[in-house]
Amino acid sequence: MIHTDPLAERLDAFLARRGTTHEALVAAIDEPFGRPLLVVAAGSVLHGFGNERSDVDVNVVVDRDVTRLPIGSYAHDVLVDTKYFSAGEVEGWIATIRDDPWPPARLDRDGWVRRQAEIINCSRFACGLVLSAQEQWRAWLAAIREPWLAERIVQWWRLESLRRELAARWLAPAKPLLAAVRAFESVLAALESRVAAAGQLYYGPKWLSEKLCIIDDTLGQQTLEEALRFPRFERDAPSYIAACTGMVASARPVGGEQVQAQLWLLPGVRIQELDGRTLVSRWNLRGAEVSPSIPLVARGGEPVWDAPLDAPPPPHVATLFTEDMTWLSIAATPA
Amino acid sequence: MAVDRGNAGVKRFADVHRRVAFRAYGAMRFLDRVQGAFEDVEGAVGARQFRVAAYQARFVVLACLSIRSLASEGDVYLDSDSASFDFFAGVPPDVIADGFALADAALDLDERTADAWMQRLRSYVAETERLLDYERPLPILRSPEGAFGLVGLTRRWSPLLEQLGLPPLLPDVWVSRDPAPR
Repeated sequence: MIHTDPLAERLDAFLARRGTTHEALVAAIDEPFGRPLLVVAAGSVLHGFGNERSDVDVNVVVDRDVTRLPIGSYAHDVLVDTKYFSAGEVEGWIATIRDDPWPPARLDRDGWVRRQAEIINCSRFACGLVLSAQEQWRAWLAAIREPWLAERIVQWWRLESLRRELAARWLAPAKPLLAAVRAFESVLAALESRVAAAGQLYYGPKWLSEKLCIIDDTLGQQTLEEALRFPRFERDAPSYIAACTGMVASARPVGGEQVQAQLWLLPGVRIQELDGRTLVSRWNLRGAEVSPSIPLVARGGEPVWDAPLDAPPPPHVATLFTEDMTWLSIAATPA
Repeated sequence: MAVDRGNAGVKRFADVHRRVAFRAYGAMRFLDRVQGAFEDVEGAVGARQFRVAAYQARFVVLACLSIRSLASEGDVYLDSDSASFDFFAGVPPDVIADGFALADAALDLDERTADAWMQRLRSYVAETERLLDYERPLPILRSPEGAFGLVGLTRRWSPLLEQLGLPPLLPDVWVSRDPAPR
């Protein structure tokens, strides 16, 4: 088969080395949720930076509810990671990602997880190779390939860079090495935002070095190289974190959102008053006793604390964060 | 922490919750995070994508350290996107430093050194699996038999986890009807 689409050329070459074709790939898709409405191949192989051990992602839209257990299948020595999506879920992405303001004024962990999934999955559809589509789904594909998706991906990574930079600052006094991890992630997210702004929308930080090569971003490659040289000991963490802060300042695209920090209790966390102290525990497996008792009231559906990014959390809130009892979000500043 | 007093087949624990958490969530974390990332490193080294290998090696080491942390202070809920999730909780500093030394070595890989380094990483991963103390090698999630292994692991541990008030073994995003970030 002769292709002019580089995605199709790469996929066919990858499959041909294993004695199969993308037509066979489509034919092998199980139909546990009924007949597919849309089938899109995605993955690093199609974008030119996969290797011989890479799998092929196949995203399938069906007309019913699905679950997301990640079970791969094998055909001709190719690991095919098939994910099923309900039509309603996929159709909703345009309204939520393109039209709803982001970030919202209240963003808990579930909201963050949902948004990340929408960004990943929507970008995989947008950047993928259509293997089969019912006619009405072609219009949907055209809509998600418009420039708004790139803008949202750039924004996603920019805010992630900000979130992790803030976490590094808060963690540094108590847990310097963990703060260094977050500082590294902040650099990584800043570079992801940068490559997305240059058109590399494929979601996958492990391929960042390859994406920087493709867009010929020498400064970005040097930044990644420097950030990957991670401190081994706590004593080396402060200088590493300071270096990362500098890297982020030069690498992260500028955004115009008015945002604030917001903390929410994580799943499994319980707070109990006891003998003038506060016992904060998670899964009844680990905990911290804070004395004197802390003035914390986290009602259902309410954040524990929110404040401008440059406002340090009060000590009891900082303790809940460093003890990994709270989820940090970057939310919109209320008007 | 396990105490082997030399009695055949007997290990005593001061904290049953911790022992169960370490073996159960440690195994799931090994399947979910370590195996795939290690395969990524193998693939990247094979393709001479040394920067990709260096990035993923760091991920492998972090995941292995987080498994070790489960034996003492680590959280059972692997939420690596939580900005406060602590990969190192309760892990001795020298163990952390050794792990990062191994990951750092990936930054200087070349044709000559790649295979020996890969063997070191393989040993490091194997040692992490050995610490989990299973009678047989853990199933490979990304294999034709992986689904059965995953189901077997879940069936084995779920009743005890529920009894101890610990969260489900399968990550919530796998079984949710909401879109899942994988």
